[in-house]
Amino acid sequence: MKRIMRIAALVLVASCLLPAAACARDTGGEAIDEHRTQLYVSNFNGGVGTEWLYGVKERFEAAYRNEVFEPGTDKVGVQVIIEKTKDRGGTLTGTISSSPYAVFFSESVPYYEWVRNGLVLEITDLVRQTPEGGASIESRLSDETKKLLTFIDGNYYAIPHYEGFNGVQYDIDLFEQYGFYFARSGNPDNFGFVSADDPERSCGPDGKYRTSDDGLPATYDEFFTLCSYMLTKNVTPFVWTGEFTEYTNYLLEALCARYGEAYETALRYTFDSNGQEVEVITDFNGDTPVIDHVEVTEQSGYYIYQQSSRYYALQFFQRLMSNSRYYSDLSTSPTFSHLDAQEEFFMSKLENRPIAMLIDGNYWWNEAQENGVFTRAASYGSAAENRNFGWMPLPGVVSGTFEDVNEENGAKATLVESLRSYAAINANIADDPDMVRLAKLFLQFVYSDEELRTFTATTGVTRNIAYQLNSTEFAQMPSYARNFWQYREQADIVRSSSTSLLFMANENDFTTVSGVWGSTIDSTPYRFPYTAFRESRSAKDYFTGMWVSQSDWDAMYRQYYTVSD
Amino acid sequence: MKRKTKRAIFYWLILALPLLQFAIFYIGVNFNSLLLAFRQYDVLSNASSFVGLDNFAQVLRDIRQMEYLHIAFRNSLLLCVVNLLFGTGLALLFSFYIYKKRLFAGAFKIFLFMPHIISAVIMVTIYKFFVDRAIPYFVEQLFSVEMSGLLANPDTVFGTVLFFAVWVSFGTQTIMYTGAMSGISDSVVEAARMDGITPLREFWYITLPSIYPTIVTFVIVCVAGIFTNQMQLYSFYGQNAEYKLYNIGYFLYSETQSASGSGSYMRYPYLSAFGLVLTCIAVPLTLIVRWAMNKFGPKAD
Repeated sequence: MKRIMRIAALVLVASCLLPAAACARDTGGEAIDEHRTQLYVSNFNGGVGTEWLYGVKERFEAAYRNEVFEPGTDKVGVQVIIEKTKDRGGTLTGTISSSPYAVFFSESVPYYEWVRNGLVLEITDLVRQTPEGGASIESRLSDETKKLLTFIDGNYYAIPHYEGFNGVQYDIDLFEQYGFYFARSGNPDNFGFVSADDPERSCGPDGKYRTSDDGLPATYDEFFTLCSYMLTKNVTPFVWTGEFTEYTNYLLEALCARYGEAYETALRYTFDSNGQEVEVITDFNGDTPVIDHVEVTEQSGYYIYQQSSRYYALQFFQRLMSNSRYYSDLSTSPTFSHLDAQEEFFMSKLENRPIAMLIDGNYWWNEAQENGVFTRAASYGSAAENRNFGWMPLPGVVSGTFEDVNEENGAKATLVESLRSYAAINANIADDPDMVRLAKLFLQFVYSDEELRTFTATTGVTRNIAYQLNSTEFAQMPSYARNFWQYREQADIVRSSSTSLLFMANENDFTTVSGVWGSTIDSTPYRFPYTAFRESRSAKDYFTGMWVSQSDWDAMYRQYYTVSD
Repeated sequence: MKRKTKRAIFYWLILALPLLQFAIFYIGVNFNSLLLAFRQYDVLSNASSFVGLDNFAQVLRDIRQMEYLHIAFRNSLLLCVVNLLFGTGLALLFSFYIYKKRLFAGAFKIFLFMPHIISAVIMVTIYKFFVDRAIPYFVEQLFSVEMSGLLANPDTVFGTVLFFAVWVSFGTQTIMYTGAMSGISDSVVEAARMDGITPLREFWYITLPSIYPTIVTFVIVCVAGIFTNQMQLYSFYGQNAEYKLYNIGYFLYSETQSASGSGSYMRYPYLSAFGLVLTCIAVPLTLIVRWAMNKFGPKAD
């Protein structure tokens, strides 16, 4: 009995010590090489994954294999130890200062919060330093990004990492196969779509001929004509995750971005239309919106909820939800994840139940790849190879046909960057100059021109820093990455950040997917238009339910601006 | 050193860690939270300043104006009532059945305690697949009727989540009641049986009064936790549960998560004030319930 008690006591003591193990560094199963200096790097393992970082690790270790980072020891060279984590952004805020990781690559980073709390190391010298034969990181940043990064005290504390844009992805092969393009002639013999006899395509949403979006729906009306046409061909127009309802807001965001100018899309973060007028809806005449044009400042920020782009996006989405044949039945299932949706989308054509479009971010391709979708698709042989997918240019005009769309009123190529991803160095290594030197050297390596290009070639994801792919690298990228790279090249980018105090103090109200699209209809509050439309609510009711009165706006935010008489 | 001194040292060494933990993570945290409710953080400097009752005024204004908070309060109350009426009621009946060692009593015990052995996230995942895929499949196979998943259907989603919340709390109650029942004197039960008592009367006149203190404990814990029980919503939906499912426990939890997720201290003072307002409601309510149950409940003797 005594022996059993002893064993039990030992087990209990051991179990008490278990939490201590959590404080240790996760080496990812890699054995520590005691003859090299270790650099611990933490990476958010989301849509962009970690494969790219393993490549960097190999190249960095090789490049500095003979360098001594800890003078006075027999260590030569560096070993990069990578942690793949699901913790990101603010979740790290409470742990960074005690974290064993020297370098962080993360997303949803509360940059100002990290800086204000002294959690990340000042790296102005690294950002401004011009490497041999190259350009400084600062010289590759846009003025807007420089302003955002140096707003607090003129110094840099992080470098932009990857960019995430949410919207609609489409299967280009499927569109080509079925001829899902509007004909320039209007082709009445084929419901307005191109045919073998009449292949010339309409101008598409940008209103310009001979551009990459030719033949795609130029108006919302045309979009639904296309959806109905798809049904006649037994093609399901849409799929999205039913588990993460917020993904449906991605469609709304993408539609809004295509409707107005970039500065209008940015208002949610800047609250400053810079003296320019913004199209808002102030009332309804029956079901017809009453349009007005107003200037938006922090004081009149409530107008962001009345932007007509929002109403038309809601109307579009309600129309989509009103016909359950327009989307996969799995899209309403809470057990259908975004990864399932990606796989469903990719496999659908191979399994003869084609789906044309997926609501997801530009990182979906890399995410699907890292989750083994392409490996599983390999059993379909050549049919699964060299598939063509693209970023769907959505229409920016509400009604009519492509004939009503021209260069003036056509959809603007605006993208909203929503992931706020950064690379930073942990401030807790500040007292260790050797480690600081190594961490900075590593970041400098990651941001070298060659590594920037390799990153995009590996992941298909872009970064908020100027660099160009050469023709070989471009050609080697998957079709989706090529398509998106080209789309991004000509797009205006809106960053989901600003130096407005109102924004900084209430970031959640204006950045979370549910924070921006909440509404109250007949005393019933909704976080997602998706839920309301499933309950047969109208877009108009949803839209007016979103409005915030000036007095409520003042009550909530007046401490961040001066109220003029 | 004297044996008594040695014992005292041993005793305090054993107690030191939990006491320290209690002092830091309970007293310290709650005291800090109390102070936080009267402060506000500056956006740029992160410095905090005393703002008196501003945060409380904001909380009360929100409670009055925000529709989703009305729903959250209603759902919290509903959860508590359903837990007390159905959860406790059924747990008592099941416990009695197990206590009487009737058919499959052991198996019931295992099934009911299963949710506490398996991690909540896994249980939620299994449950989600069961109600959203398996049930519609079986219904279609058995009755040739197409139905949508219980979580996918806006009309059934709340009931489905509520059922899960009650079900997972069921196991603990059953185990505790069964334990309390097994402490009832065999001679009392035997004597009653010789007098020809029926199982129902035995339950009502012997079992229930005998385990009444245990029932009181559970009811008080349930009432005290009325604003902290988050109905497992976070495991179901993360931070994106729809407003109609909201309850106060979930609201507080997800708001705190969200504030921490954005890395911003700005929201913490408001949440602290909210917590204190809820304490002002929950404490008297709990004391009243305890007083009433002790005053009007059956006595074991």
